[in-house]
Amino acid sequence: MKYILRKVVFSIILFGILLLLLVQNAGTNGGRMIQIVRGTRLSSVESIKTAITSLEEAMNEGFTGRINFIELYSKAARIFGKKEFSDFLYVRDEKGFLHNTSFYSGYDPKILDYAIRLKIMQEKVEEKGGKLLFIIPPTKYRVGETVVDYGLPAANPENKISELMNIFTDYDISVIDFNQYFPNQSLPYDQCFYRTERYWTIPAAWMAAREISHWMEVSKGVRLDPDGSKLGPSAFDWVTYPGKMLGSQGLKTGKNYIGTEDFTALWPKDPGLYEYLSYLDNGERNIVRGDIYETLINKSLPDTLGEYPDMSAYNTYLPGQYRHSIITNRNNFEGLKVFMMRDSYFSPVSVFLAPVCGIIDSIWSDLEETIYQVENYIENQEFDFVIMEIDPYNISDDTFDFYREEAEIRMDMLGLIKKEEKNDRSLVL
Amino acid sequence: MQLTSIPFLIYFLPILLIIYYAASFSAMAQNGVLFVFCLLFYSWGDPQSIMLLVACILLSSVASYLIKRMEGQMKKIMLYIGVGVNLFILFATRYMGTFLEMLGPSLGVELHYSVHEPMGMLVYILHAISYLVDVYRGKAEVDSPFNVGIYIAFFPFLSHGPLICYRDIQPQLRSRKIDYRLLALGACRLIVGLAKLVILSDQFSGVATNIFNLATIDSGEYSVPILLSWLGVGTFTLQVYFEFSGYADMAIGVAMLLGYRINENFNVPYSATSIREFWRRWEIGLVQWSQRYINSLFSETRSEGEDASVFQIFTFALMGFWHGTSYTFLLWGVFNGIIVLAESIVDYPAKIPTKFLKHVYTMFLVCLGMVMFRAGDIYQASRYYLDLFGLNNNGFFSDIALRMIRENWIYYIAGILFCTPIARNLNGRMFKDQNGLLNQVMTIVYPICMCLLLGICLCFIVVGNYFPTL
Repeated sequence: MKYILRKVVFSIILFGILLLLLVQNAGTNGGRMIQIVRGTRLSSVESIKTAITSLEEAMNEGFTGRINFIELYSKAARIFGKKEFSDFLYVRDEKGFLHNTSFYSGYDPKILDYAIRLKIMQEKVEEKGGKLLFIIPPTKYRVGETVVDYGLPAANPENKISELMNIFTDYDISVIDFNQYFPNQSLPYDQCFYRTERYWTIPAAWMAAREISHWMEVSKGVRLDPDGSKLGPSAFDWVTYPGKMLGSQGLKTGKNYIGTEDFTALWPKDPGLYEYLSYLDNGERNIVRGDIYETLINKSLPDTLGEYPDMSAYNTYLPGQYRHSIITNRNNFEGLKVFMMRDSYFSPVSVFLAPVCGIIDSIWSDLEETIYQVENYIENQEFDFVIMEIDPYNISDDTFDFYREEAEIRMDMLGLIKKEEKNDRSLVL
Repeated sequence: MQLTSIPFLIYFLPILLIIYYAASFSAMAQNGVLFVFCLLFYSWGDPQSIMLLVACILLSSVASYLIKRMEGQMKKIMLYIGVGVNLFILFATRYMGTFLEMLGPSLGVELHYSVHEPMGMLVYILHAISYLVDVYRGKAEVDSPFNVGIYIAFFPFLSHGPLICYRDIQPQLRSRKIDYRLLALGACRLIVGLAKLVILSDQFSGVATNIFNLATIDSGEYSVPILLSWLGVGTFTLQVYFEFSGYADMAIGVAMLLGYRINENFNVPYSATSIREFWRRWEIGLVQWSQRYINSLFSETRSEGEDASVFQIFTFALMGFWHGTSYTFLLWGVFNGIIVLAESIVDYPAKIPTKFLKHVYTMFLVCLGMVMFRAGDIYQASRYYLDLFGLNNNGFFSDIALRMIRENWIYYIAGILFCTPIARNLNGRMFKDQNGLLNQVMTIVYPICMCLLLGICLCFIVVGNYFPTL
């Protein structure tokens, strides 16, 4: 009898919990879910599938007490002294920095393809009088600086970067490898990277923007910021927000596992006048006009983050992840026209470069999701600079998704394509 | 919709139970509710294939009616048509790609065939076949399309089974009694299954996937050390058990909550002392289905004096194919069939003196089989076998293996504990001694532990679904 009794007691508790969670969650997410259902066309399977995905997202993201559950998991991981998190998603080094993982980071045979594709792009850009620049931001994993416990597979893309840079330099492509700049004397490692975020800090992004601006000046023979009022140290108010930073890696592991850290922001003194056009996933356009704090910087974000932040303070600069966005400096319409293929590393960099440029036109460098043919876009417009920036942990075919056919023809001419690839006989049914 | 997802656990299941129990005044009303929710569950996961499921239900209903009405040769022809159409759909959507892939090299071309495989198709087609054959053999009555629909599309079983023979469940489709004991057992079973899946299986999956991926690279500099490769196959063996038995527990638990009593699908298979015994404890529903509908078919068609061993291996090959479309699953089935056959030929159990050695022998072969089960193709499997025995220019020691054990020790202890009969024996002892101190304590502790387990499961589910992006 007691055997059943304890199971009956638990089943009553379980039914109570399930009912409570149902009422709570339906109350919280009901409105959003009804909206999704109303906007669904039942005659289209695709529309139904999209609605189901959106409903699942609403249910998962709006799950009551989600942060509490994450923090509970986070606490348990800390108590058990785990140095990897969530099936080796991240590993923690001896200083408490989170790193991406990779069980194997070997030779990527397509680097030569990427070089040729980029070279073709460079030729096309130069035909129109522009310049192309390829940028690699610094890696958080630094040989000699990063120490991880035995057997932890922290991702170290150093070899791949070095090979990429060597080949690109051989092909006369202008490159900046920020691994050569950071960390440095004025910005040591722990000020260059966040413990909880894969990207660089805001001060590091600012220093990078200065370096890029300098490269532009040299390339075009112009002075973009002669008095330092736009990019110089005196052009910003430096403000540190203690304990407000929990980056995207930290949000995944939870605060209890890794803790929060300070967030240093650089607030431009000159608010300027800008227009920010972004294209949403559904193809709609969103335009905001105003000063830099109304368009490009969400200055209030660090203050709104609570004890358990649910968003990274890194989002302060150019929040959102749009496939395509255009920043127009309305005080400098005749300024430099820049096209960027970028990721989140360059969100703050774009903001810092905006005062010295006329237009910064950006697409996300993971082009898989992009609605544009980047070749056509570049060839149909005139840009002073085309900058390609890629995450050093994300060097892949998707990020070099342009001039594929032209590159293949050129490689064929150079005898670089493997014979077996050409002889591939396949019948697609 | 996954059984382990928030939408299922927090929305679908509670809403279903509320409406289902509210309709308890009539078995027909309850069946109606259940049928609608089965279709809803299916539509949620694969809306474009819902018509195929409905067509399968209607086809089976019509075919069963005709089988019942007809006599002699026509009856048999009707059965062949019903089963044949089901098998054709199954082959065309699930196995054609593999078949052409295997056929391609002999024709000197690479053949590709890609078609959307409807969710849960394997289970519902095999259920439909079971229904038709049972009606043909007179083991079951022709039922209403409603009841047939519930059996074919019973949502807890769609993704991973267990397979149920129609004759076993038909009485319950017509009437069933829900009592508090069944509900209590079902609730506990549901949470135990959930824990097996989201805590143990997922964790083991992460480790095994990383090691097997590492092993696919090549030999030499990047070959996987012996220690790591054995850890990989051992972890995968645990993962498979907790994944399959976890889904089975959840399915049985949900079925109990709906008033159905379903036969067990696993009986601590890793405690077996021979491969033959292993297959009496592993995926019992699948084995039973195969015996009833494949073996018996062979027995009927086999001429006297003909060797049954080929049929036995063929049945195992088909059971391998149940798990996936790659030919490595087929080989896994053949491998098991050969071992079972060999054991019966050499009278294996008598040859090995101690029970411990028998366990070692069984688990060794199970692990070897699992390499084929997990590997993407024969080449990868062969590389992995070389890694296991140090024949791939690989060393023995691996700091990654030690790290993986260090980081996951608690899961390994729990995994090894719960895949052996220890927990079950302990439970049995407590149950025997009703007034024992341990039993008294457990009465209080058990609900608390189960609530904690539910909380931990929710933590794992929420963390797994959480992808903060910039």
